[in-house]
This record gives sequence, structure tokens and C-alpha cells, in this order.
Amino acid sequence: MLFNSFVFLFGFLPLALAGYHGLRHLGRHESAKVFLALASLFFYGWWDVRYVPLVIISVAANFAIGLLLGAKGAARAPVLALGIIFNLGLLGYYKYANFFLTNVGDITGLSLTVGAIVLPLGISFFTFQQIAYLVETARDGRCERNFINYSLFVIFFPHLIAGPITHPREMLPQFDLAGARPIDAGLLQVGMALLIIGLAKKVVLADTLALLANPVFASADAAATVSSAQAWMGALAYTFQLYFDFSGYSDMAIGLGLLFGINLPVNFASPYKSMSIVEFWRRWHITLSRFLRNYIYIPLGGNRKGHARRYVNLMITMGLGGLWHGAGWTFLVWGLLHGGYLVVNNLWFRFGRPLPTPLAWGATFLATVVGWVLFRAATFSGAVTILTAMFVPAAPAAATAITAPPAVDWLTLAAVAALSLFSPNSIELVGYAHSMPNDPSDRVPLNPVRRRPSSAVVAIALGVVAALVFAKLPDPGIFLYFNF
Amino acid sequence: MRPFLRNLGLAAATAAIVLTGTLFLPHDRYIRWQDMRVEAYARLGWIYERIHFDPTPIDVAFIGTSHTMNGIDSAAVADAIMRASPASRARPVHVTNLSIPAYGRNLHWLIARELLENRKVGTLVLEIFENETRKAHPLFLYPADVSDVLNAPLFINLDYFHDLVRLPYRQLSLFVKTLWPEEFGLRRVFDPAHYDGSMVDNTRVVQVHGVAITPLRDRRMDPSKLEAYRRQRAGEKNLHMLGGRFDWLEYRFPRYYVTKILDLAKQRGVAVKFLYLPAYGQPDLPYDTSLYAGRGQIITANDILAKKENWEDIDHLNLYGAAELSARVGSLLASSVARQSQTSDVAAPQAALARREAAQTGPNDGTSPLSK
Repeated sequence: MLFNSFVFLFGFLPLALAGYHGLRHLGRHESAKVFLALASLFFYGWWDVRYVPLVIISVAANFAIGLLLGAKGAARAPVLALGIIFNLGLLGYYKYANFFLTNVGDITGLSLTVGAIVLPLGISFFTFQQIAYLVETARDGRCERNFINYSLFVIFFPHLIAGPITHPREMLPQFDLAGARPIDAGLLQVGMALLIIGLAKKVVLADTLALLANPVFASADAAATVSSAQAWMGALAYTFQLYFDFSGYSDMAIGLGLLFGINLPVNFASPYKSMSIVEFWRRWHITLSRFLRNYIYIPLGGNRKGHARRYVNLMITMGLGGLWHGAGWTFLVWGLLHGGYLVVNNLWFRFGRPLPTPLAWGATFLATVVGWVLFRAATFSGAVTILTAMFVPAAPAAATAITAPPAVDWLTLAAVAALSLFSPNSIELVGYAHSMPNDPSDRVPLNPVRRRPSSAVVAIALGVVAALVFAKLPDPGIFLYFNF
Repeated sequence: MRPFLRNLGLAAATAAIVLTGTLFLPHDRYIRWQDMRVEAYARLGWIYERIHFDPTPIDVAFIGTSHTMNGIDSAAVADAIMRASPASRARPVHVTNLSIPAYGRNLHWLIARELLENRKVGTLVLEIFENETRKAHPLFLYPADVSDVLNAPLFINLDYFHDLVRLPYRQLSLFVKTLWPEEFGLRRVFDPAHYDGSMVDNTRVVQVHGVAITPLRDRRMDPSKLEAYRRQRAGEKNLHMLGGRFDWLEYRFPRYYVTKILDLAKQRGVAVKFLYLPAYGQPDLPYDTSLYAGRGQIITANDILAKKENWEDIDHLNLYGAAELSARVGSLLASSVARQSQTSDVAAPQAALARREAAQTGPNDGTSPLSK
């Protein structure tokens, strides 16, 4: 079930809200939580009911391992290792088995395959969350003893499919109190506003940009010639499409969470305003960056073992981060490219002089766009075709045969670029950062809008945005991060 | 909680007003008909151009599905008419095929209305199958007026809400495209250089703007596969999904639009023929002919449809079958067209039209006795 579908917005969501808040008002807060967990499983099963048992087994197994880790005198290291192997085993089978076997087969000449495997939706997200839970429990021995609380931590439907990747210490206390405490009407307003803004980012902006990006990448992947203008159009359109798509989903997730009285962490903070790649990763997919930092980079030694080791750690962390996005060499190279960017960025911080602001922004943005080409292209040759066309203008004879993108496409790009570079982001617009202290976005400058029009004007503006969303809603596009 | 509910209500009311407001946004009808540019559906733009910008007369117009689009070559029909009827040789006969893939009577109504309200037409040939479809045409929303969508029958119209919820975006999109059509690859004014011509033949290859979008349609389907498909379809056939007593409801939707087409044709004095062109292996006549009885002849060519070598696939004749069918249909239409050419006013009184229908020839000419 997609957030941007009629069945979700006018069927599932109203019923889920009515059931949850109805039980809450009756004072049956445990029942309200059970209802929410069952509704989340229904939400997941709507996609493919065959994978519901997988999610239940994964949740139950991790809950049990957590209890073992929390037991007095438990041998935590081997239990933790068992838990991590279990989680990575599931992820490895569903996401990487065929990739691995295909590559081994290419090297050895053997025909190795485990057949077609359908990637369970959101497996990368709920696997990482549960690994984080096990690691934290192994560290401090504080396990969750309420199965429903733990289940909601993993399967709470707003973040189940595509994040944000939540942290047990910020979520479990909330689920413990869920259903028992009154809900602030102000947060409901913020939640509704974020839901509408997120829908608009996805349905109106990202899906429109997809129409500009997809043909270019399809042509390049099919070994067709792409002009310089088309290549830039495709690369830039995808750059903004991915941002509005994923940040729109995150806004919706946070907004939906608030409608149930749950605060989810901020996941995006105007990443394209970044002045360095280091800053970019503090603003882009913030909860993934936090996971990678806490559970890969720091355990590897982080920056505590000298500069050379730090750079190696960065490359390993980002390479694995790339692979997390998908089982493909383009994702690995994209991750390593960003690892390289971070190394160069850190070297520059050590030895270089600060760049003038426009130059720093331009270099960061350009590096990001180049990375997204690798990220989006289905094949290496497609990526190379586009990157070559972007930076090596075609010969006039070849260029004349190619239709230039129409002016309206460039105007669309200019408008979305202005929106993402010069306007406050959705979190700042609704002032959500204030309500979520100590979340991972506290390391980036979020400046909530202070001068606000009256609530009636805001409601009317959101009504207009909602109308645009509803107009575009009947033919929804898939969320890009569902693939990961 | 009260301010939250008040603001929620305000936002919902605003959204409703904006969505309703989109229905009043103006746009150019030519842009609307051009806007569908997917595969053979792009022929909608040509249909509009043929009706509105091409002064070539329309003596015979075909409206139907891909069966007619792939099965009727306008030029071959015109040739056959002129050969069969010396009276028609006094001036060229102009036949045009306004068929579009997929079956849905609501789109046929839009095309027929566009044609009959804007052009003098001699004979309208409406394709029929063994039974009327209960489904709406998937393209209906594209060329329809706002009022067509809003006033479409609700029962049983599985696409009513499908079309309704898409209307606001269509209106917004057409409004913008009307302002800057060139930016979207559309034309504000008719350009003869981009016109496909008065008679486009889609029996050999399906083409859009002179570009073939299918290979040469000369394939002959494996007879055993053709027969297997026929058996499969016969097994799946269900004419009375709601039970026979509720046929009036089950077939209300197509009957509504076919009746509108026939009423408009009658009002304009246009003779109507029904071309029976089902898929391979169907009965010799529609199961229920009550809708057509007394409204026009049913033209059949069952001997041509019975030849397995004439089929490209279970639904469509290949170019050989189409050539045979076009010649046959031309000869069957000849007498009717000849009479029209002798009649100065094609919008003849209804009584004269009825007399012409009654005077049609007998069972050996391929027409159904049921139509008399």
C-alpha cells in the first residue's frame, strides 16, 4: 500500500486512526497498541501477504535474542554475533544471494543461482533497525520485555517500508507510552501539514521530474546517443526527483507518526544546500548516516586510529552504505565514490584553505550529481554515456541529430532547484525540529520559520496543495527507496 | 482539538473548491484530442483533424475498435463501392475509418458526435461484436467534455470514478498545454504538413503520423492456436454475469451510448449500418440483436471471418483478410452509397431514411434478414 494512494489515504489511514484513537479514548491503551501492530502487519501484507510470516519471524527472533542479551550473566558477545548473523543472513539471502552467485559464476564459469527471489519490502530498513537494537542491548543490557512495544518499534507502518531508520532508545520509550498519554492537537496539525507537504513533494514534484529523467537514463542504458543537454537534464532531474521522492516519503512518515502521537527522527535537512560532502551526509538520509557512523564507522575505529586508518574506514563504511542501497556494482561504486569524496573533503579540511561559498557549494553539488548518475543508471555503460555527454560535448554532426529538451523542462528544473536551494525545508516550515530534541538532525542547522501567517491562511494554503495532490493522486508512482 | 478540526475543515473545503474550480478551466479542444499520444491511440488527433480540418467529403465513416481499424481499408472500400455501383462513379466516393483500439461505446459516442455534429455524412458504419461490451473505453477521459464525464451513466459504469478523479489533473494539464502547446509537442493550429491524409490505411501496418508502429501485418496465425484460443474464449464466455433477468442493467451502459449514437444519426438523417466484426470463431450474428433491430442493416462477412488463414491473431484480421473484407464491405455498401449520391440532401427526412432501410436487398447479399 502506497502512502500516495486513495486506498491508503481514504481507506486504511482513517480506519487505523479511528481504531487506535477510539481504543485510546476508551482507556484501553494496550489494546490500542495491539491494534496498531496488527494494522501495521495488514499494511505490510497488502503488498504481498506471503512475506508477513517473514516479518513476524524476524521480529520474534530478534525480540528473543534481545531477551537473551538482557538476561543477567548472559554471554553477550556470542549471542550478539548470532543475532547479527541471523539478520545479515536474511538480508543476504533475499537481497544479495543472486548478486553474489552471479558474480562467482562469472569468475568461475559455473552456472550458480538460487532462482528468482522477490526482495521483501523494507527488509533493509527493518534489518538495520533490529541490528541497532541488538547492539545497543548488548552494550547496556536494557532489553525490551514487552513484545508489542518491540513489534511497533520494528513494524510501525509509517516507517516500516522506507524509514526513517529509528533508534531503539528514541522509539521504545515512546511506544511504551503510546496509547496512554493524551495527544497534543498542535502536533496533529504539524503531522497533517507534513503529510500534505510530503505527498506534494512526491506526487507533484518527484513524479513530474521522473518524466524528465527516465527517458534519458532509459536511452543511455539502451546504448543510444545522448546529447549534452539531455544528459544534464536527466542527471539534474533525477537529482531533484530523488530528493523530493525520498524526503517526501520521510515527511509523510513523520507526519503519520505524529497522527498516532509518535515522533520519528528527521531524515532530511535541505541536503543540496550543503557546502561540503561531509555536510551533505549530515543532511541527506540522516538516519542512515547515523546508523553507518554508529555501527560501522566507529566500531572500525572511526578517526581514533590515525588519519590513514580513518580514510580506510570511510571508504569501507561508504562502500557498504552503497551496497545497502542495492545489490549491484553501480551502487558499490557510488558508495566508494562518496567514500572518496569524504576522504578528499577531510584532506581539504586538513591541508586546504576554505573555498569561497559559491565554489564550495558548486563543487559539492556537482560531485553529488555525478554520484547520482551512477546511482540511477541500470548499467555502467549507461552511466558512462551520460557522464561523458555531460562533460564532453558531442561533435556538432552528432549533436544536431538530437532533440534538445524543451524550455518548459528547464523551467521546471529551475523551479524545483529554487525550491530546494532557497526555500525553508518542510521540517523548518512546520517547526517540527523544535518538537524533537536530541534527534540526529541536531548536528545540522535547521532554522524553523519564525514569522508565520495565521493558522487559517496556512490551512487554506495546505488546502490548495492538497488539491494539487489529489488531482495527481490517481496515477501514483512507486517510491524510489522502496527498491532499497 | 477544536482549532485543529477547524483548520482541517478549512483545508478540506479549500481543496474541494480548487478541485471543482479546475473543471471550469478553459482549454482548446484540438489540443485535447491531440493529447493522447500513446501508440495507435494517437489516432484520436487524426480523427479530430479529419473531421474539422479536412474538407474532403465523408460518404462513409467507420467507427469501431481495432478490429475495424485493422480490418477495413478505406481506399479498398471506396474502390469496391465505385466498382459495384455505376451510379457512384459520377464522383469519387470518400470513405474514412475513424476506429480506435479497445472496445467501449462511450468513446464511440464521442467520435460519432464529433463527426455527426460537424460534418455531412452519408453512411455511418458502426462495428458490433457478438455482444455489447459492459466496459467503458479506457480512453474516454481524454477527448471527453467535462460534462460527458460528469453526466456519464453511473450504472453499471466501472470507470465512472476512475475518470472522475482524473478530471481535475486533466483540466490543469490541458489548461497549461493550451497556453504553451509547442512546449509539449502539440499544435495550436492545424498544419497540413503534419496531417496523415484523408484515408489512412492501418490494415498493412498500423501507423501514426506516417510512422509504422507495427510490422507488416502479413502473419497468419497458427490454425491450431487459433482454434485453441477460440475454445478457451468460448469456455470463458459469460453473457449474463448478473443473471439473464438483469440484462437490462448489465448492458445498460453500452445500450445508453449506442442509442445516443443511433438517435443522433437519425436526427441528422444519416444512414447507419452495423458491421459485424467479432473475433475468430464467434456465432454468425450477435446473441442479442434487439438493440440494432430497425435501426440499420447488419452487414456480415462470415465466410471471410471463417477462414483461418485470414487472421493475424484471434482478434484481428491480417492484411489478406482485411483486403477481402474491405472489398466485400464496399460491395455491400454500394447500393446505399449510390442512393445517397442521387439524393441531394444527405440529411434526408427520417421517413425517407426508413424507406431506404426497408428497401435493402435480400439474404444473399451478406446482410442480415434480422435488419429488415
